[in-house]
Amino acid sequence: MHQKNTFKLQTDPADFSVLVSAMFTIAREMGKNMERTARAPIYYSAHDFTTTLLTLDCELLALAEYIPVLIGATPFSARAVKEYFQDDIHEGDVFLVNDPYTLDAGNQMADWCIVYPVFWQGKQVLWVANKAHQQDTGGGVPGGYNPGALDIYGEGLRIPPVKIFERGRERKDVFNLIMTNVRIPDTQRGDLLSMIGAARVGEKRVRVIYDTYGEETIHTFITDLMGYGEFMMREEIAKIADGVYHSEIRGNEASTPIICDLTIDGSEMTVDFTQSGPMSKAYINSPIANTYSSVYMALMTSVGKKIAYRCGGCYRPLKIVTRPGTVTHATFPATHGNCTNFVAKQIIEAVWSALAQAAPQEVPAGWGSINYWVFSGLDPRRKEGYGTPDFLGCSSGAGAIWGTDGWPTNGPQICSGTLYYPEIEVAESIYPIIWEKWEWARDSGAPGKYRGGCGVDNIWVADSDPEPIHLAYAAEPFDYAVAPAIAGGKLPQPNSKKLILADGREESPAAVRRTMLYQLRSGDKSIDYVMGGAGVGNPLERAIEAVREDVRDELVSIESAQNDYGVVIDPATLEVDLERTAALRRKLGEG
Amino acid sequence: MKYVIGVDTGGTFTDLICVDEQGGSMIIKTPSTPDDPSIAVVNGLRSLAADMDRDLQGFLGDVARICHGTTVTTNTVLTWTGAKVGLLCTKGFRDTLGIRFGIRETPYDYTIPAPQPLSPRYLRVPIAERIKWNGEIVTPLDEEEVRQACQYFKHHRVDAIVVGFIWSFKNPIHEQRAVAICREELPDVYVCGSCDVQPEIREYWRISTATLNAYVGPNLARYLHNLVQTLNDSGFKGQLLITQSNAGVIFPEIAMEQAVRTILSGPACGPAAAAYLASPLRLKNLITIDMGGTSLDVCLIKDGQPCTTLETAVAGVYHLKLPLIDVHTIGAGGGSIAWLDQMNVLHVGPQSAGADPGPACYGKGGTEPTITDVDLILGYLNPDYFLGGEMSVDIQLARQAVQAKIADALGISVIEAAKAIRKVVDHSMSDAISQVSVERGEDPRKFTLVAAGGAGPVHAGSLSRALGIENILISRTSSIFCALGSIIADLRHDLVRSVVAKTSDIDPDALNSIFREMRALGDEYLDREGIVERDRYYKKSIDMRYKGQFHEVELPLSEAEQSAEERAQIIEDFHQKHEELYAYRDVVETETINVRLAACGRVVTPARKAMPIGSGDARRFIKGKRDVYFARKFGFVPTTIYDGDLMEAGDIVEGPAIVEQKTTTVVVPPDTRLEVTTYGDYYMQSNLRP
Repeated sequence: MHQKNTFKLQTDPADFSVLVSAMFTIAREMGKNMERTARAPIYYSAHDFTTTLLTLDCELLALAEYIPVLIGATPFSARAVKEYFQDDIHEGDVFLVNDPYTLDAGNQMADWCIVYPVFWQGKQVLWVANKAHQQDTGGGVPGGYNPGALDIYGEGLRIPPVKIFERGRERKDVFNLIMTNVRIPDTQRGDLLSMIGAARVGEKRVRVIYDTYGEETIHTFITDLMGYGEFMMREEIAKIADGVYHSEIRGNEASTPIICDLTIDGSEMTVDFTQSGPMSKAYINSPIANTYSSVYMALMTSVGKKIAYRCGGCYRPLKIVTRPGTVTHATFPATHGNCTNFVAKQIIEAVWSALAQAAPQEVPAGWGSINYWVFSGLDPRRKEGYGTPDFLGCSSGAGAIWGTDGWPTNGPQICSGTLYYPEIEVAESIYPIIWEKWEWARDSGAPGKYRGGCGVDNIWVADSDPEPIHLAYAAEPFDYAVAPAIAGGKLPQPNSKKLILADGREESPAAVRRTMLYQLRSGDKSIDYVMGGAGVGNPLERAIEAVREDVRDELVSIESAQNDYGVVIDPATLEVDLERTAALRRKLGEG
Repeated sequence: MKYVIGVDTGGTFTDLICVDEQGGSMIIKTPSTPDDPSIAVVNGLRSLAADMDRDLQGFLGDVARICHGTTVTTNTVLTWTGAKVGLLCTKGFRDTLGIRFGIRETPYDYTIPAPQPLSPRYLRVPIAERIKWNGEIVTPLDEEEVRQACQYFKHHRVDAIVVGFIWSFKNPIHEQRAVAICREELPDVYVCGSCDVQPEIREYWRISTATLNAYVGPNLARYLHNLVQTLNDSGFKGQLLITQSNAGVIFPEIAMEQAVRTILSGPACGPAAAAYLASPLRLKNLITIDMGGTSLDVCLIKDGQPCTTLETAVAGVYHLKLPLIDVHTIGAGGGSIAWLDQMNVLHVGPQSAGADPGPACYGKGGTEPTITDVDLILGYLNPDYFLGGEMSVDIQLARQAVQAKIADALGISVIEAAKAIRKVVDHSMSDAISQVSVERGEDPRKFTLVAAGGAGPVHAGSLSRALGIENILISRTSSIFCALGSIIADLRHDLVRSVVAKTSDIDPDALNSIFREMRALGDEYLDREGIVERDRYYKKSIDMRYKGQFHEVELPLSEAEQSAEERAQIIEDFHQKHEELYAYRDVVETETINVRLAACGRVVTPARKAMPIGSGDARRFIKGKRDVYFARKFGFVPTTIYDGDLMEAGDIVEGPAIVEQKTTTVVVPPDTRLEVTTYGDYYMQSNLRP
């Protein structure tokens, strides 16, 4: 029944190598350009953006290594533009789009996408689609994360596909309409120019390639590249045993479950989320573009991790099934603002969990959830406004993978280590806050033969008088379980968040979760624990020397070494008692 | 007679160039001795002496200056053989080095382990102290904790200590005090504060740079002590100078304190050599390519100045912030291996066959096809005159490797496969050139390509065609470029201060006093080096950005005092530069982050000796003919071979041709004319217009 997976390049081998490298170089150069010219912290520092080249059919041709969870969403934005404007697409036009519910165009409203048709000799040949998270997107609260929104209108300005440049000329009225609806228009205008500037650079480079190779050669090359991606992915999927693998990610009683049925059939994979729970009142519902993009990321970080060119061809052997009205297929007018952080993570981990049953050595363990405030206010030193997530609270640990410990402070999972945390000196320059602590927390990385990466203690004190600091609790409200812990690995300790106010009052984690919005004054202190990642493999099998080093480095406590890893260490000398360790490991192994 | 010597230690060879007062020069290449690199240095000096029929003692007595580029520090990082480093950090921030801003270089492949910090966690000791953003003390330094930490370090036998506190660049009092205590408690340990190396805002960069300094410092100090001793014992009475990654030189004593400044100094002096060689031809805009056995180094030179950068990562993961010559390196050298992946897509490098087994044609057991093999098959290299005939190569083995690993799988002939490999490597090379030019807003067609290294002149002709570059300069001493660059390098000390303010708010007088302060510090170094007033000069620059941006653009400033008018001009310069680099200019305010001063001391540049003038007709140096492949358009062409070692100034060769020298081969494509310059270099001009 299964056909043999075959494929042969039609392009001249040298031309193929040259063209693939040239296309990825263009995406990378656009990325560098955006990185160096961006103005909003979330964009320049967090690198919360992506750059892509797409085929005329809006398939992913080339990409740069930025936020992985955005990458699979740019084809959705370009498709929406294409469908909406049809034959009204001209050289010099620049399109902007963010709305998840118009033609499934967007993954999340704060992620604005510039869609740029690339023309060569008067004819469109490719698309550039660059997406970047904006500092603000209008709506009920600054920063685009509004836990109190009733519907999508409360979350921000919905931008269906619009033309912001027409045949090379800025449409001032449209620009003005948009900028009038965001809170920090100066910065945001700069950021849009930066995205467009990068797309122009991309266009220039693409034209040179077309001048050199001509349309026909490049057309054959594109067919080949997509075929290459498809072939490679089929080879990887075929290694996994056929079957249906079921996984569920559940949280507290208020949560709605993410349920995944993953079928492997030869070299094809179907990921079915139709059994997932209904949409939530909380702002975590995942529009279709976000769901697809998350599944793509889950695939590329597990079975596809060694594929060199992560083009759209890799997605071809994959079928995704969703049911409108579920948390994994949000419909108008459901709120969705935090879907890229939560639910995207759960979708990815649901796919990993299902795959882990069939291929435990190929799949990463779950990452720690992030745990952050969005703070905003006026900086009295500079008399300027600020509004941003606390990126230092995003520093959860990565899950391990067979053979390798999880990386510490690498979150959010959806960024996969592409997010840059600001250094303390940078953060304290931008926000009227003084940090007390930001370092790895002991025992935060969950035990395993391969340990989960560490999370942090993140403690800071407001220093903003006479202005208040406005806090919004943006962290995940449902305590979704971290998953999977693979082959006997353990799960990490959950996040916690509390406040100690200057007058001595303490706001417990439960109170913080209920209240969600605060105004802090100088001397008020925020104490967050950001969790680590899950482990892989039985901790009793972890190399004794690795456990000893973790204890020496104060990343694992002597108690955890003993109870979780079965390694007995003398607290005074930090020497391992090999005899007692052997006995203890035997005993724990039996129990 | 007085001599100046440049010595460059490379991975395979140690290169020496010795120049006398008339500009006469001698070149020696001697195998490197990685266990103790000074052995090769002395071997090379001994060979130079022997070539002059002198004993080492007598010869060294006549040497005024030895300029030395060393890879000791780079290798220390690459081989993980550096110091055991203890770090004193601000309490609450123990993991700055390990967090590395949270990034992962391979976001899809989690099987690659996290990099190990150069100071392990158990040696990173938190100290109670805290300075605020404005320099105010929030928590005073607990000196007792520092002393206890010293005892702990003593117990663990650390070789080096870094003190890296938050906001120390704003108020260094705690950091300096802690450094002093460490020196007092542990007088034999290498100690440095984060601000001793690079007092800039952003603690990760600052502490990471200082930790690299401490990690490589003791090794470099040991090496230099030993080298100075050996040289002095051998009769050397002149001055040893050490090259830095900014292409300037410093005294060995200062190099020991600021060891990190020599990391990546390997390729840094090459571009300066190119600028020097091109100056008699009045060529100021150059792109240099130095192609050796394993890698290709590319650098852009504008108005005679090699481009610089401020940030890099050593071994790909250890971040470093210092002014560096911006040399872009890719894994494309003569030994780079061509391979097919499971889909039969052709790749070249980054794996290299190295010196052992080397390319298949060496006959030392290598079976993988390399660029050298391909260059041999396509006729560029002469199997009977490899390294001037000192080495024999087997073209049959080269063909077999290409056949077995590439041609058979693709179902094409060996020649077709060789052409494909050549095309892929030429593309990687031109891509690297685009990265240093086009991505900086520069049009490569306006530049002259300067090709160096054993393989550079073999590829320069075909490369330049793809990029539309018409002029190529090839040095006769192209194989020892970095050694040459070191003897023309001035002394240089890079200093920096963070300002962090709106440019329009900065009081010019305040700026002037910061520059005066840096200049005084620079003068201290130059005093130690005995540089007299008239030989000193200073370069000022400023790092600016649009308000709210994260990355800065460095702009040069005039030597003059700052004024309000000057400030307006700088802001306009910034707008222009930004537009040039990033395709847009903005209307928002600009911020100034750092100001920089390089305090430099001039050295006497050796004279160059003109070549005898030839007849202009190079036919008298024809040594043969063979078929050589020149791009799809021309195919294989019967090509005349010239003996470059005999050619004289003014001699002209019309392409297609090949000029063979003992250490290098120059490929002259069709439509190209090569001329030997007054100083014996080769200048090629192509007519690329259709």
